[in-house]
Parts: sequence; C-alpha cells; structure tokens
Amino acid sequence: MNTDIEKLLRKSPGFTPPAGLRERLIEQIPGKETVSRPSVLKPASGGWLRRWWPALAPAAVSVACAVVLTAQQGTIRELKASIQTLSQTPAIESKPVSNRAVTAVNTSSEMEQEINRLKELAERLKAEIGQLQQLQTENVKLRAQVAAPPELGLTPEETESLAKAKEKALSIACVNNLKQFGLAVRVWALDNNDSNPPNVLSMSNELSTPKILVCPADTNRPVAAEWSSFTMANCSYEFLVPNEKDADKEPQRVLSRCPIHGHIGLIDGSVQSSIAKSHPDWLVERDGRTYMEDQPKQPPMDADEQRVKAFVESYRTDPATAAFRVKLTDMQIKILQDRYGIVLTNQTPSNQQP
Amino acid sequence: MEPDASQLVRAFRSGDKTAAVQLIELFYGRVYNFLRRLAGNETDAADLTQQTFGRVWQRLGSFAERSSVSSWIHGIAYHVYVDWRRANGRTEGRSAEWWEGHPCVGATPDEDAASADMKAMLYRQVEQLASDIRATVHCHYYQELTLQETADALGVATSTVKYRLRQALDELQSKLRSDKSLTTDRHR
Repeated sequence: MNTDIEKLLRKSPGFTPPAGLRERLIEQIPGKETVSRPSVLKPASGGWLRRWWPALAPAAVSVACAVVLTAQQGTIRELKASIQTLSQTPAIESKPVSNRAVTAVNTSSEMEQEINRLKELAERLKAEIGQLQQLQTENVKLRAQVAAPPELGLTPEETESLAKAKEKALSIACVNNLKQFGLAVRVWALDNNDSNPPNVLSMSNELSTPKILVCPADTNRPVAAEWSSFTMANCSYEFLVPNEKDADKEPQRVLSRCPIHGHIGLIDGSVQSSIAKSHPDWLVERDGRTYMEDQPKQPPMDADEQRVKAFVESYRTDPATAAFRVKLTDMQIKILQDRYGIVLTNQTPSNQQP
Repeated sequence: MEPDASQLVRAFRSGDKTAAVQLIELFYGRVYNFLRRLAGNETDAADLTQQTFGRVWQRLGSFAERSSVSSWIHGIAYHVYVDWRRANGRTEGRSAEWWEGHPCVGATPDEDAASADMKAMLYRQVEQLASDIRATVHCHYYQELTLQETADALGVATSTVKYRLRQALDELQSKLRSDKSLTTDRHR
C-alpha cells in the first residue's frame, strides 16, 4: 500500500510556469560585481590569529618570561664579577672609588663580620662539645658503678639493708610457693575422694611447674625444669600429710613446712610465716601428727610497756624530738632497748625522771 | 544533455551571465512547481519564484557547495515560502476543489476511475499533513529530490527526512482507508 502511495505521489500533477516569468527572472540576474566568491573561501584578515591565539598567548608569555630571566641572570653575573674583582683589590685604595666599589667594600666587610660571627659560634659549639664529652664520661662512670656489685658502691649499712630486703623477698616467694603447694593438695584431694596425694610427684597435674617446690633461699638444691626429671631431691619442702583421708577436717594440722624459713602451710591452705623459727613452741606433735596450736594470749601490758609503746610511736613519727615528748624511766629505757632495739644516746637528766 | 549546475554556478561567479540564464532555465520550472503546490495559486507562486531567485543571486557568493545546487535552491525556496506564509498569516492546506481540478498528469481515459478518485483523495490528504511533513513530501516526491537533497533543502538530518516520510505514508494510508470506508457507506 505504501509503495502505491509513493508511486501516486511521484506522479503528482505538474504546473506550467506562467508566461513572462522566465524573462522576469532573467532580468533579475545581477552584474558581475554583486556576485562575489564564497566568503568561506576567503579567510578574513587576522583569521589565523583568531584561530591560534590560545596557543600563541601562553607561548608569548613564556618567551617574555625567558627574556626577563635572561636579563636578570646577566645582571646578576655582572654583579658577581664586580664583587669578585673588588674583593681581590685592597680594601683601602688611594684613588677615589666608584659607588659600585663602595657597595662591594661594604658587602665584603659584612661578609667578614659574618665570618667572625660564625667563628665565635664555632668556638661556643666546641666548648659545648667539650662539656658534653665530660658529661658523657661521668655518665659512663655512673653506669659502671650501677652495674658493679652492690658491695662496691654501697655503704655497709646500705648493704645490710639490701641483704635484708633480699631475704624478705625470698621469704615472701617461699610463702607463695607453700600456698601453691597447699592449693594443689586441696585440688588433688577434691578429685580423689578427699584423700591427700601419696607424694609430691602425684600432684604434677595440679602444680604448674616443679620450680615452685624449691625454696628460693635454698641455693644448694637443684631445680627440676620438668616433671619428667623431678625427684624428691628437687623439693625443699616437707610434705607432712601424705596419703591421708579427710585430713581437711583438722584445719590446724600442718601440711607443709619450709626448713629454711620456718614457714608452715596448714591444711586449710593458709601459710604462717616463720612460725617454726620464731615460735617453735606453737607446733605440737600428737599421735605422730603436727599441729599448730592457737596463739597464746598475750599478758596485759603494764604501765611501763604502755609508756614504751607510746614512745615508740612517737619515735617513729619524729625520732629527734621523741625523747622530749615522751619521758622514759630507766626501766622503760631498758625495755625499749630489749624489745625494740632502740638506744637513746642523747639522754637528758629529765629523761631519767619518770 | 543538461549542464552541470555546479559548473554553471562557478561560471556565473566568474562572470558568465549566460550561466545564470542556464541556471534559471534549469531550475525555475521546478521551483515554480514547488512553490505553486505550497502556495496554492499562480500569482503567489510566480512572486515567490522571483524572490527565490533574487535570494539565490544574493547568496551565490556564500554558497560553499557543501550540498547540491538543486537542494540549495530548494532550501531557499522553502524558506522564502515560510517567510511569505508567516508575513501574510497564511493558513495551511489547499482546498479539495483545487486538487480535484488538477488531475494527475499522464492519466489516460482508460485508467481506473477508482484510481483517479484515490489520487485526488491522496493529494488532498497530503495538504492536510503537518507543515514540516508536507514540505518533506513535496520535496522528496513532488520535486523528486533525493533524501540527502531533501535534508539539505529543509536543513534537517537525513534520518529526520526518513522518519517524516514514514510518518506521512502511514498517516496517508490510514486516512485513505477511512475515506474509502466512508465513501462505500455513502454509496450503500
């Protein structure tokens, strides 16, 4: 259908132009002057400039900058040459100098001043370096003193106190070991019908390491690194309740003991410090079992002891003025010396009075 | 043998006035027919043809030969027509009577009467199309310009020309069908 329509459209009726139209059109034809060549074929003046100015403008700016820089470099080179020339000539000349020469002389004097200043600075730096080297030497000496054994750098009093502190630390570590030992026994008993382990080696699962079975102060005893190499020779502590059932019903029963420090570990897990040494009378043997009796009651303090105790408290607060604040009798001074080890050296007559 | 239009343009530019006469003889009939169909009467078509060629001579200097001379002149003619229509407030479309009084050239008496009716109906319907589609139909079918020449003359893309022609044919087809059914109903 569309093809038919197209055919019909192509055969649409035509028209004959009216007479005289051709002549009128021919009359309209202009002369040669009015018909010019196409404008597109004749580029307008300056067309290339309009097309190329975006590229040419930066190029022109760059060239201008280059020219200016070249001129500046030339000037700088000339000035440098003149400075060099003037620095080679004597500073004071008999003949008059030009303005440029004066400027150069000024510049050279400034440079000399700068050199002098730098020299002073270098001297100061050298002195500081010397001081630093001295400090470094002292530092090395101090380090050597610190690294050396305590006896070398400490006074006898300091050495003694240090030894005491060390002994105290070892004692505390020993107490800690006994606590772990007691805990391991309790754990083992809980897993085995409240029966204590037959020996120390049985608690290998309950104890983290065999190292805790050696008292830190027991320097002669070797320490077992592993349970596989552990023997009783690697244990400092005495295990007093092996292989017993329901032993925890007697909380005062001694479970373990350190022969060095005298610490005792009880069945209930507690550890009493230095009891075996300071109060051996508190340990009682009954039916082959060791118990720690209750601490005997202290007799009531008499008036002298109360006075001495007050003095000791005052002495601890301020040792210099304690003798003036709390007056002691001879008996009280003796108690003070015997019990607390405090000796009053600067006794005044008033101190002798009650 | 028809002279080449481009050579005639170049010759006229170089001062050969006979080339201009040859250009007129080559194109004035087609331009007149184009404007005659668009404008609808002889007088206006003749005036518009004169204006067209006047503008051709004015713009011949700026003609860069990017399109064919034919499409260039048709483009000028179309713009002259559009300017004239705007200036005079003309309405679109030709009367049906006008097309009935101008039967198809070459139609023989033994042609089918129904076909003649269809032609008249078709040309009527072409005039009822939108102006840009109608101008495209005129250029391509009536003036026998190629698709490219039509596009150049109307200042649109070739694809637009194809689209407009397809739109015109579909619209004409649908209108012819409805007209046919109406005629049949009347006869009954």
